[in-house]
Amino acid sequence: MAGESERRLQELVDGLPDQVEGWRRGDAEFYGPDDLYRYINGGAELFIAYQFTSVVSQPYVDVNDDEIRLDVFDMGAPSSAFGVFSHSRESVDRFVAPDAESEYAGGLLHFWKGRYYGSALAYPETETKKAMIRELARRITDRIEGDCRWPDVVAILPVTDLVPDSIRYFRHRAWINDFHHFADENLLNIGADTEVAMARVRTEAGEAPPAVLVAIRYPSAATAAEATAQFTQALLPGTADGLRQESDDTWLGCLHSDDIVVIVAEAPDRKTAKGLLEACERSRDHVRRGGHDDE
Amino acid sequence: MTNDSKRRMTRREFIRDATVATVGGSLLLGSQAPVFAELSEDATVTRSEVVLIRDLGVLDGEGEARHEVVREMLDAAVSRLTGEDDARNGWRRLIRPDDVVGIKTNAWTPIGTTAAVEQSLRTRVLEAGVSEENVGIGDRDILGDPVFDRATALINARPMRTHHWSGVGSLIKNYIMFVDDPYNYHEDACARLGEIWTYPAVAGKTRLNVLVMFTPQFHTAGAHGFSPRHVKKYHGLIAGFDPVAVDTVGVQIIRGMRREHFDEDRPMSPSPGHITVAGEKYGLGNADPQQIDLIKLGYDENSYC
Repeated sequence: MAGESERRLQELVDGLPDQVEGWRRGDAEFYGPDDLYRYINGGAELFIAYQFTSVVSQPYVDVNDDEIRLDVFDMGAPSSAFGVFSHSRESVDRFVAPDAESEYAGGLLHFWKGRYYGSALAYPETETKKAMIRELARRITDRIEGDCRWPDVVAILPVTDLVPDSIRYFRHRAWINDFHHFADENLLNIGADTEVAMARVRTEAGEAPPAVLVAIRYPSAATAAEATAQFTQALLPGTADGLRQESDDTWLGCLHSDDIVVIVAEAPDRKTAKGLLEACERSRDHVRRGGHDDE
Repeated sequence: MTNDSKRRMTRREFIRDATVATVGGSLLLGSQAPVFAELSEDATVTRSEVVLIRDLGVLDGEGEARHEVVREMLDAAVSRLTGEDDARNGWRRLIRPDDVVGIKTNAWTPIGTTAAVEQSLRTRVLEAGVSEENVGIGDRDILGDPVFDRATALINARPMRTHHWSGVGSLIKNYIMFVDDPYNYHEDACARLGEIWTYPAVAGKTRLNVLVMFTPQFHTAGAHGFSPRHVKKYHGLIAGFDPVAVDTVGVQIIRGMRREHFDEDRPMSPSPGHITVAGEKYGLGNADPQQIDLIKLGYDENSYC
């Protein structure tokens, strides 16, 4: 599997030029889950948590021995590539190509397409370096089959009022508190076999900040029920309808159906919280029927 | 009661489950006063002093830290922390001539501890009477290092930045290189990092903690975690004897920068809970801002704390 992954990565970088402006292509390096920490010390865990398979690091060096590296990660599945990209991006541009989601800012480029996530740093930023990493990334994405289709669980979140580019996707407990601090403990039993989509959503309540919506798909209805019970006992005790006003006056709510749990937080009032949960339920039914709002 | 406080384990629960000792601290030389907080079963809490010093002149036109300005900042911090008007006397209260001193730095290159901080610390340690062969500066190579192996005193210095897995790179986290299996401390957003401070190579040896806040990074992006647009010039150093309290102030500043940038109070991801755990479970200091006496020196615009 790793061999096949590296072979495919090698094919991707084979499409890169030997020379760009004054930059000469060096020897590519490959890393897998066992030695990724040697390459990105202190940062490997993020990729491991997203089912990372292997990475190729392609250096370019100029006459001053300055180096630019283009890293292309095989994340095993498009959902994981999207997940690691969504983890930190603030916005989405089409800097690399129309069919790849990317973000370029201040010399840092990262992008995803298919099951691949890429990153390159042109720092200190110059126009030449910026153009160079754009061209290298474009050549990579041209060779990637697939598209930037988001994971199905994301479609449970009602598309209309989502804050642009706030969507997160993960399968690890570490990031459930991204927008709202639910608990330090893993109340929702989030693990490698659960899919989490999370986003901020605008409400109609005047100046109120966007609420937080979370949709979690569990491997079974039973595990979803177990997590719901744990979450409810800790944060929604004694509520008949799964809604509760928090100490800061915002509303927290939870809705469970089959293998899906939906949570709303920071809603400005009960009606909004209930409405958002119901909107997610409708989206879920739509997804179950095989449709997607963005089709 | 805040949401945070009601959802965390209570301090009493932490204390019940923990072996609490003053493992990370030491005594100010010539004094009976603990240099930072200690927790005990009856919950006697000592307040922690933290110095935040900022100087707009600390970075030159290239963004490099100026040695002479850094030395002045460190001297001012040590002077305030030790209560010695003459900083040289302050350093002598931290370091004995017969000490073997390891200066634990951080080698992450995009935002480093800086040579100015490392060499300023080394200079002051030498001036306190320590011989050259008994002073070392290290990070990833400290296991087996002849100075760190014999160290009787440690100075902990590093920059603060957000981190994909631990919330922030902190002073508490900086000692992870004292173990040969750092990957075993990654569980639960690195919550167990404080335990390292209980190990013999470290326990009771730290004489000073310095959090470098010249150009902290308040959000992480990309494969290697360095995102230039999320780096902000702050021109500061935070120093103290209590690593948890110093980290807590650093996190407060990072949170302020995030609030300003994102225009919302966006939590760090993941939460830097290892700092709280270091204080509450391992007794390394105060994570409660109410127990921290923050002393601000120098420039104080947009300090976020």
